[in-house]
Amino acid sequence: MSRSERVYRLLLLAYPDEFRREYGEQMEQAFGDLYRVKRGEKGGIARLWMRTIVDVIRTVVAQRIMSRTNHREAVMQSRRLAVIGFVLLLAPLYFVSASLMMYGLGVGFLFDPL
Amino acid sequence: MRHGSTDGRELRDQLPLSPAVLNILLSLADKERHGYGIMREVEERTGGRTKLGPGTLYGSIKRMLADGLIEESDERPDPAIDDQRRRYYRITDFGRRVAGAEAERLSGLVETARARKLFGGRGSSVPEGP
Repeated sequence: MSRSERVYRLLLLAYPDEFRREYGEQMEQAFGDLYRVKRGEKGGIARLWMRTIVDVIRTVVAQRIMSRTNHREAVMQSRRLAVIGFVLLLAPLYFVSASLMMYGLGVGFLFDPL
Repeated sequence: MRHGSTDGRELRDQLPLSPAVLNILLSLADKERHGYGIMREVEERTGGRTKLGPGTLYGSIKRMLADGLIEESDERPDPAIDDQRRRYYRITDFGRRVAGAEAERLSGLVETARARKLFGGRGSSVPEGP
């Protein structure tokens, strides 16, 4: 593996874990293919690195923003689920206690005079 | 193999496409390709004017898979000479329709530009139509 490829592998660490796990190896392979083609051109490696740095900076920022948005949505979703779960749990309790109270009132109203 | 769902997804929700997404769809329109194959085809087709870096390519692929525009392919064009680690992608029917709709949208813009005599550089010298 060339020095350029090793440096690129290090740069991949800047991407969110999930994205790197899914596409890191493919990106490394694509960069390696590009490197082997550009190696034969005069100034090819310098041009490759210039466009690679721009590409990495732009896409790391985009993926980090996306990852944070997804994380925030996941947190909000889990909060919503917690509220719904709480309501679903309380609803039967409320129903039972309301029924008992009504029954108690009914019994008191109907049978107390006796 | 991963398949993006297109159920209930409106075609027009996808438009306009980013240049990277449109180029990837165009690249996959005639055959399945792996990531580097897409990069090379786009560069060759555009005469080197558009070069997709690995980050742009796989960031777009991630979104396109989620949107159901492309899918991973299990078939390998030539397993004997191919690196098994490479993933191949192909355009879906939905992706094909979205690319067509985008081409029509762009064609409409080109017609408007032509009608307003913006063609031919510096906004002048446009030959009149018949």
